[in-house]
Amino acid sequence: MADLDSDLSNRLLRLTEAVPVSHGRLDPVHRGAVQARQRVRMAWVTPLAVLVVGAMAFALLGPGLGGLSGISAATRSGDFELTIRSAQTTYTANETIQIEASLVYDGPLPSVRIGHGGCAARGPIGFGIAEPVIGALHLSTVCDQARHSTVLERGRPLTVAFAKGAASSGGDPLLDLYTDYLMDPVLRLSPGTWHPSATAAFEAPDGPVSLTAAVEIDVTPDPSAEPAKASPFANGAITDSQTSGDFVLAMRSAKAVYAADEPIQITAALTYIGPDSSTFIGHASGARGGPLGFGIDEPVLGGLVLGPGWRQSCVGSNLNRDIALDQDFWKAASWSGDDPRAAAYHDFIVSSGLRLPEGTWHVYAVAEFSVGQDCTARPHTMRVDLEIQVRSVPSATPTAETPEATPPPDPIGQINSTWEGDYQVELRSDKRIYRESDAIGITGTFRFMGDGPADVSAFRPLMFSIREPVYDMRVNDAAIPVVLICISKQIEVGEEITAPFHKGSSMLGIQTRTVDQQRFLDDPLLKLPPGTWHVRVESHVSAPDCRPPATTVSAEIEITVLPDDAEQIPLLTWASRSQECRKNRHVGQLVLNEQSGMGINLDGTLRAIRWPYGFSAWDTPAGVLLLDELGHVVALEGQLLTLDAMDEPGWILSATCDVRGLVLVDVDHP
Amino acid sequence: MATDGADVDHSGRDLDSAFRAHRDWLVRRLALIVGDAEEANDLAQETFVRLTEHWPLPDSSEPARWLSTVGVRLAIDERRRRRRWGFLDLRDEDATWAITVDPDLWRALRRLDRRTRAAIVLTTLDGYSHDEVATILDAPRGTVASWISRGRERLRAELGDDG
Repeated sequence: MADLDSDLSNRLLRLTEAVPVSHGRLDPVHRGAVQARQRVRMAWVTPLAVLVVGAMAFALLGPGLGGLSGISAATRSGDFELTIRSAQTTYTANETIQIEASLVYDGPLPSVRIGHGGCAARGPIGFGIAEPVIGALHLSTVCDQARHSTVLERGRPLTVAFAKGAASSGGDPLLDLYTDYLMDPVLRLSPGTWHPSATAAFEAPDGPVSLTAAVEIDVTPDPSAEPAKASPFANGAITDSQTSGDFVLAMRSAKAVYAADEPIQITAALTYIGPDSSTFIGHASGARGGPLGFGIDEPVLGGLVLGPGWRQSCVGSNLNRDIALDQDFWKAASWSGDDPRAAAYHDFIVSSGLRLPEGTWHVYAVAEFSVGQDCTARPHTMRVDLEIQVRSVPSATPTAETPEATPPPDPIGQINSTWEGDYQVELRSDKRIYRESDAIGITGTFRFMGDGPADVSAFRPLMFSIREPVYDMRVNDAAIPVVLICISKQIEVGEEITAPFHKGSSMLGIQTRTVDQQRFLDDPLLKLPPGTWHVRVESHVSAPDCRPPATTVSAEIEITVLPDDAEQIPLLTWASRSQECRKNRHVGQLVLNEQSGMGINLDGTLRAIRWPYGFSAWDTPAGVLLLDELGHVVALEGQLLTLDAMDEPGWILSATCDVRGLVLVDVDHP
Repeated sequence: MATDGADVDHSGRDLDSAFRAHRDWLVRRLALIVGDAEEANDLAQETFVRLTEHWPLPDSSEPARWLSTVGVRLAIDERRRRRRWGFLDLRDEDATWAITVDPDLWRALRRLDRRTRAAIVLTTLDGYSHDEVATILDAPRGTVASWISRGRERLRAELGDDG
């Protein structure tokens, strides 16, 4: 044994010395991102990232805002300049705010490669707004921690459109409102003066660079504005807000359309956003003695007008900065004791919750107060309005309190897209979950987004591969034998090449293909055995005559293939992404459960689980699989897993909630 | 624990010097476990990102051991994730660095499961005790001892007495 020990130690040491260790450094961009994550928790969800990617493509391909009359500001550090532009200096409320930012390198080199975290559209630039946009919500730069690199060619700007990112403290009563605001890809602001900014932090060849540029824009009230109302396409939450000096008043209804007698969920919040840590306001006593009051324009029960119902003449409230003072709808009204409907009015007022009969209702919240303890002056009079509908038919959308089992998402594809300089490559699948007999629809697209034609060589726009061996065989269309003749060509502006996945294989040496391998290669369709597969597309282009620099850009997606005989298990899930942020932590062994399809078992205690939106469960010969919204396998029956809480203090709101909280903590491969 | 840094502050009191002192050996150890040098580089980077999150470590924590623990667990979890179902073994073509140096040893190591491979690397190469390896791999000591014992038997059989 001693011989084996000694010899093994020496041979292992020789083996380790042969490991190619790439040059590495502790990237300050990543360190910055990590430090940001220590302050606030990251939340990224792929489907929304896809939306941002799409916006990015448009921004890069489109004419940009440079040709419009507007306002811009620039800042410089060394050879880099960051410019932020707004298409207009003044917008009206609810008008789309058009803002973009450009990063330009104008140093001595033809191009430089910069390393950065993934900010807006996964590039180096992020956006923020100095003032809270709604309630206490500040838009700020949010970047992921993946390692990204971008090549900046001298004098050619990298331009991205404004993208929302934000941090918020957990437990904020307006969290749903913030989420709704962030999920809207369009930037709209309420009347006031705003200071949007762009930030670029990256690692350049000469060291770290950090740039921030800001502009000032005004938003004026829209005289034609009507109260927020239901979208004809969805029954989601509706909101309204108003800013007055250092105060923001916001109101939110959980839905735009309620069923008759369904509790109507309306909340208003007053937030101080001024420079001090807190402020004291004097006001009349409104709902629960606070500065807020509620009302409905239309009378209920035939003649009862709900209004703010101020009581005591002067009381005070202390408001801490950025901490919303919130209040659910509070019923108040006055009526004559002689009114024959007085008893009905009384019952309506003292009943819990707000329930309204069928009709259209204009609900409002008001706040009247003065700063300081003197109630004589009322410099702040604020009002927000919502229009809701109550119908006799049941509501189509379950409330957060009464969620229902939802089917898994319809078969939807996925897309991943990456850029390198002027070159973009995109990979799409028509579905995320396939059966083993399904033809897998994968399409790759190469796009050239330069300003003028480019002379290139060794141009291979779309090379497909699969990371995992298929039937013990590498599927790698990129492994084409090296071409000794260097072929040059010119790529035209806007050139786009799209092709479906095509198979190739690299077999080293003289090997005989197995029946499965040959059948796989002969099949014109792409069909894969059950498993999780990472499909990749890569584009390669070199400078003329095969001189450097060469550019390679690639994109990868993960798909899941289920056995044909896999049966779906009905699974209880949340009805939307935003709802799942309220879950608590669950730890246990994944087991079948009559109530929720799949549940957990912790030390013999069985618990039903409402799984995140879009999750599904499948009974396969390999066991029961739990898949997430993206169709990725999360866990197998019998494995120990943790469903992490989302309501920890200080988590970042991206566009929706983080479903990566589901992590395996200790799993043995079966 | 050996490190490869030649002219760096081995105390690792600041993050940058810790990175310089420990990164290369961490990549090399992880490559033995996962078989793929590129993946080992990625795992090492992720390990240091996590170190950044936890920096500064408590005085009682030795950076090398902390990095071994996190890096090895990441490596095992990554392989576990990739092989969760339907996946095949490591990629031959990504281990050319090993095959060209000691193909017999590499083939023998590849036949061990990832945890056994990690346990043998940690004990044989870095001198960790069974208790320490049990802590790093978050497994019972007896289980770890069993992995190491069976792993050695298999290596002996694969490599022969001259081994």
